[in-house]
Amino acid sequence: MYEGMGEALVFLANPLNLAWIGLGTLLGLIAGTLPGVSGVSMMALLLPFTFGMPPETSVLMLIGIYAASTYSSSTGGILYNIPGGAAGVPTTVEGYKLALKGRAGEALTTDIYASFIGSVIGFVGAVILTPIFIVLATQFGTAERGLFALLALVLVGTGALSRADPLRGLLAIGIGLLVGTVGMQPNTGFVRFVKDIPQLWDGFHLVWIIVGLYAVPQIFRLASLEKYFEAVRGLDLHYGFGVEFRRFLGLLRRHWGLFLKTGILGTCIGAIPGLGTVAASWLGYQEAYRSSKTKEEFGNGSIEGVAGAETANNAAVPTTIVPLLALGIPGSAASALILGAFLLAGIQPGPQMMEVNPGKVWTILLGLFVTGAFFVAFGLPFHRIAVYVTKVRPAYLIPAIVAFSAIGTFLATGFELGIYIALAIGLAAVVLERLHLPVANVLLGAILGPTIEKELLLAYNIGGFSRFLQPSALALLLLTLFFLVWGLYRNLLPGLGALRVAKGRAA
Amino acid sequence: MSRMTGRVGVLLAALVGATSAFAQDAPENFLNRQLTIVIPYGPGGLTDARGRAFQAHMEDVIDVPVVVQNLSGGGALVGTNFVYSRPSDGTHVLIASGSDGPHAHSVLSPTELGWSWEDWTPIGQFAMSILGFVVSEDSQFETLMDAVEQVRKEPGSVTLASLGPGRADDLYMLEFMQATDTIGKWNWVFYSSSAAAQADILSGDLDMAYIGVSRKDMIDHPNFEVLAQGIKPSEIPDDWPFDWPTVEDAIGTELDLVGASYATVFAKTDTPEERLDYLEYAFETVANDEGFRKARDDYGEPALWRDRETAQDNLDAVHTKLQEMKPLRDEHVKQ
Repeated sequence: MYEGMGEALVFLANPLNLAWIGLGTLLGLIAGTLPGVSGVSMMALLLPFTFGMPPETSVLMLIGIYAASTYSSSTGGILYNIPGGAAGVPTTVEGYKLALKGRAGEALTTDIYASFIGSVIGFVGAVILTPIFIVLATQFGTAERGLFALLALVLVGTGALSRADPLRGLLAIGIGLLVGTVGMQPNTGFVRFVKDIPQLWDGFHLVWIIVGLYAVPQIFRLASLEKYFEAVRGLDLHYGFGVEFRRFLGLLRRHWGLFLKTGILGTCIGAIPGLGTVAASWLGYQEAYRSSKTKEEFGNGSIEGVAGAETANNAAVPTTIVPLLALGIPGSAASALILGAFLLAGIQPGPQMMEVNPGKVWTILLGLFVTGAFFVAFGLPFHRIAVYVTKVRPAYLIPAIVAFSAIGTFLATGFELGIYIALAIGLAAVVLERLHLPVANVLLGAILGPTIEKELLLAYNIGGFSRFLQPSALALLLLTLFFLVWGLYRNLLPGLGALRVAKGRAA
Repeated sequence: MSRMTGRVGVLLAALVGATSAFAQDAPENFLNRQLTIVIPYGPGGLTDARGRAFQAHMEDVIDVPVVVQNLSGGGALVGTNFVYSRPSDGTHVLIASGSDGPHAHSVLSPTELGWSWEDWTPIGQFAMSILGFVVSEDSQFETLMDAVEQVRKEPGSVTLASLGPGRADDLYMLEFMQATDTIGKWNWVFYSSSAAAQADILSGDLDMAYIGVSRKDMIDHPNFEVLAQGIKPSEIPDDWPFDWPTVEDAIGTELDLVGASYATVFAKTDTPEERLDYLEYAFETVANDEGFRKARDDYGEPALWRDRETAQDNLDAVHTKLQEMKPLRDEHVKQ
């Protein structure tokens, strides 16, 4: 199994190859930090420039971009409440609140080291558990994928995300599910609501929704809270590597179990085709909430929430490539680009790859590990400067956010309608916030809703109701039902009690 | 005049003659700023890879920057509409496959279009979009006819996936089903990508799928068997790397749509003729370039070139057949 590792180490020890991984990491860091500029866009832009490179080098550079953009998708969320991608949203929920308390440095440090720990756990998991992941990937069919996404929605929706106000939390998820119904129903081809607008047949693009839900309200906030920012400007944002590192070590000592649990959780979720880092991030956040002794901090700036989400989503990065390496099946757009680079390199991913090209498999897995180390090396100095973003005057910050959001929104699909849609979603988000409806829940519903609908309907079309009675599907179905009933009971019971008391008083 | 001078003169004359002959062969380059290749999908897919392969090699031929613009949405309709909205000056071209080009949209689109098939013309065709019937390596079906016999005997017992719905692939499947007298007998489901269907062949949800197989990694793949490839037997190139039976051979019937799918470069019909000539020259030169062919071959999709006239005949025939079969699609694929 370890044949080829020596070859990989020699390859990676070449300074030129390290430089290319470093460049990929740096570009991924930038892509992940800017709202709407995804790692996939950056990979696609650079793909033509990799044609002349040695094959492994080009694959490693693309993997560097992919991994680093996932690591850094929460950086913008912590600094200015606009995540770079969906995987960064749970960290945004907590990280931005921490930043407003003058703890941006702590949040960013936790983000970066938790990401690194996650990537190490994911790397070790991918190395040791790949044979099991192959079985897992081949056992998870339509019904299991749909039910797993539903389970994630139920767990997070009735847990961490709806802790403060369960009814509003669930209502916001419902709005998200409605948003996810816009466009062509993938099983039937029926176009819902937007038949005459082909740009919307694929539904609302995720970047439009993220920019709408986070960037637009943030612009309003920045424009209207000058006094508030004066208070923020009073905060001491000194960022000391040593101080922050020691603080993180303290967190690690107190919560090592959380890092380990969420790392393993993310590693396993990453191996399921089609779920990937986003589901891992949400479930890591939920696990942090479930196991926390200070649940009241969640939603107000919980460092445990940042640690759980970041460890899980980065642990998922190496294993999202497992279906590609082990089965030759690209489970995402990023994997498809990496597959393209593989094929151009004359490498054919699949079960035979470990036998035919063990050195190349190890080069990629170890390259991911190196990317994690580069990310720490580049991320720390970057964050030292970046904490001062919270002190930038709104007069400068607003145009910058508007420009980057508009560019990212346009790049996502290439047509300007997306910018108007993002603006409309943003205005709706301002109203939602006024009504105290959490926008993270809307995003969760909009992301998972289409997956749940597509996969469950497909499973029904394939095998009818009996498809859901197969052991793995049935187990997931029962788990989902249990957590749904339990979550609703636990969340809504206090409210019903208060309602009875109020009625009693009225009577 | 010395003998030496005379020789130089002859040489120069020959050179001038050769240069002018070459100049006559190559139409005049009208591109003075850039050529935009519009990909009607997001980054990362097969169509994107095709466009970027041209981008990498074309700048040497046309001496201006080549930009790949991804415009996703509407099952490739958004990118197509965009190219149509540009001036007919040949600076924007569209790359599409046989399933989602303007010839297919003009028949299958669920919404009114501002253009018709006559408004488009192919510049040429450069790759075959080969789909094939794929099963898992431990499938009970050893040939395509095994599966056909099974559904004839026990309707609904075989789950078959194809890409769609709403694409020309729906009609490829219906043509195949019509030819084998199995319409309505398959448990027919739709997938948005070949990779997703591959995963579900492995999970056991699908018995068979009609999906992309024109990557070399599908040859001898230990998890999958290709029972038949959708290519017309008469159009198999000499150096074709895939030796699976064709669908026509497997079922013993000639088909019009299955196997008629080529990746095509499109422009607007009212683009000046000399510009269309130049675009054809530029794309053909790249498609026949050794480096391009090797890159495409390494990617697993052998390069080829079919000129405008051949491409036009192919697409006109497909368009007519799609129109003929659309009522059947409307009857059997409820949208």
